[in-house]
Amino acid sequence: MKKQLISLLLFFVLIPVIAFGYGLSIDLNKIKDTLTATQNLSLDNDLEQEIEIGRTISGRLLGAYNLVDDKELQRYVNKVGRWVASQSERKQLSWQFGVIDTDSINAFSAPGGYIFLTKGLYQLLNSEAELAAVLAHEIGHVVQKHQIKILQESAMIHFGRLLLESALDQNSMVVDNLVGYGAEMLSRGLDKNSEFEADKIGVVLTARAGYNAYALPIVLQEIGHAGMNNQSDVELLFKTHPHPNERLDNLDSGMQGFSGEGLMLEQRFYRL
Amino acid sequence: MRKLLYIFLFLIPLSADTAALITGMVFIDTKLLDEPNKSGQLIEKLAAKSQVIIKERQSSWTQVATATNTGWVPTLTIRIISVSQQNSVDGTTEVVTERLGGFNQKTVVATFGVRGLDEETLKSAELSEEQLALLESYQVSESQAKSYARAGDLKANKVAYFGVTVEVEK
Repeated sequence: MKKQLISLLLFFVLIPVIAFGYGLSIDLNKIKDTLTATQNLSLDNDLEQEIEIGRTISGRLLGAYNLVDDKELQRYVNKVGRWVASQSERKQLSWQFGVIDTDSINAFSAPGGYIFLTKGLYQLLNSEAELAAVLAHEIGHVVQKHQIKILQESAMIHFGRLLLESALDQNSMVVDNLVGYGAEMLSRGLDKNSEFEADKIGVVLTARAGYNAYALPIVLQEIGHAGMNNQSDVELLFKTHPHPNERLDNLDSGMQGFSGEGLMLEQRFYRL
Repeated sequence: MRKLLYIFLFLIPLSADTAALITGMVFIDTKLLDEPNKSGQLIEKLAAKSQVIIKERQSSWTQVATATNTGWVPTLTIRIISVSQQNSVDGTTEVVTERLGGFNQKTVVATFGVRGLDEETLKSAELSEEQLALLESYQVSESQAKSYARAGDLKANKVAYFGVTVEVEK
């Protein structure tokens, strides 16, 4: 972290001064305060702050796309999701799950234990195990704090820029800006390795919960099938994602250890 | 699988006399069995890169047809390579898509499946306290979830992670 701060200081403050040959009007005390505020942004250990950021990001997502108006569906998804999350290393979180009302095919997670999938993706599923697998993948992102890591990186870059402006309202602004990045992250996504990691965690959590470990590969295949056309809801998959086959390849060696036992629960699956 | 075919029928603009034909490839040496389980009898040994027609799926097993036989292989041994329309009248086949987009090399990806939400809509959205309250009202406790799992005969298992390190919070 210190190396990053020094690099940012060099890049955003010292280099411009050297390059342009004049001093900028910078309040050194504010720079110091800003750096301290960024350093204190210890989201790794601040659960309260993590939940608040996740809640705000989720609130904005729900402001754009409402929950599907079906209490039975939402309760069902919460029961399945909470059971899967209970098998994770962060089972103490106050997990909340929701199906949002859009035909797009996707799922999201936000810091603190907020998980969403779209109605479009839900309708592609054919069993409770497949639902569990989708939720398990998203739970994997929260377990690994993938979003938090990206938010921290974004914040570091952003605050480096703010140093030049030498104006920052400390912690409230820190959180506000993180939330802004969070909303953007929902639409821009995470990096490829985070996805592969979440796939592996997803398979294991699905199996731990007693479902068939192959449920996630099955969903990936279904998405791959659905992507074999140019319909607007699915064509973007191939512009912004690893191909489902690539994700399956990434899972393959690890999947050899799973026998295919475990339940699919097609009959109990709540169908829309 | 039936649902999958419905999806195709809906998504691919098929005329009345055409049908979707899903072609896959076995990417490792695999045994074609007569039943969707490991106890099935061997019908044929499929070499890696053999092409098959995908017929049906049951959980972790997929029914495929080779040039001479039909049988079952583990789902994960199959990769879809193309979807075709087969004209049932004259038997001609037209490949409508072949791994659209393929393996792209972009590093920024969306969270689970297909990115479809409008970025501008998200950016301009106002936080909805009402929807957050609704979301919270659907929440269940760990014990409620456990009871529901038990009702479905689900049992928790000890399964180790593979290929990923997960830190346990203190």
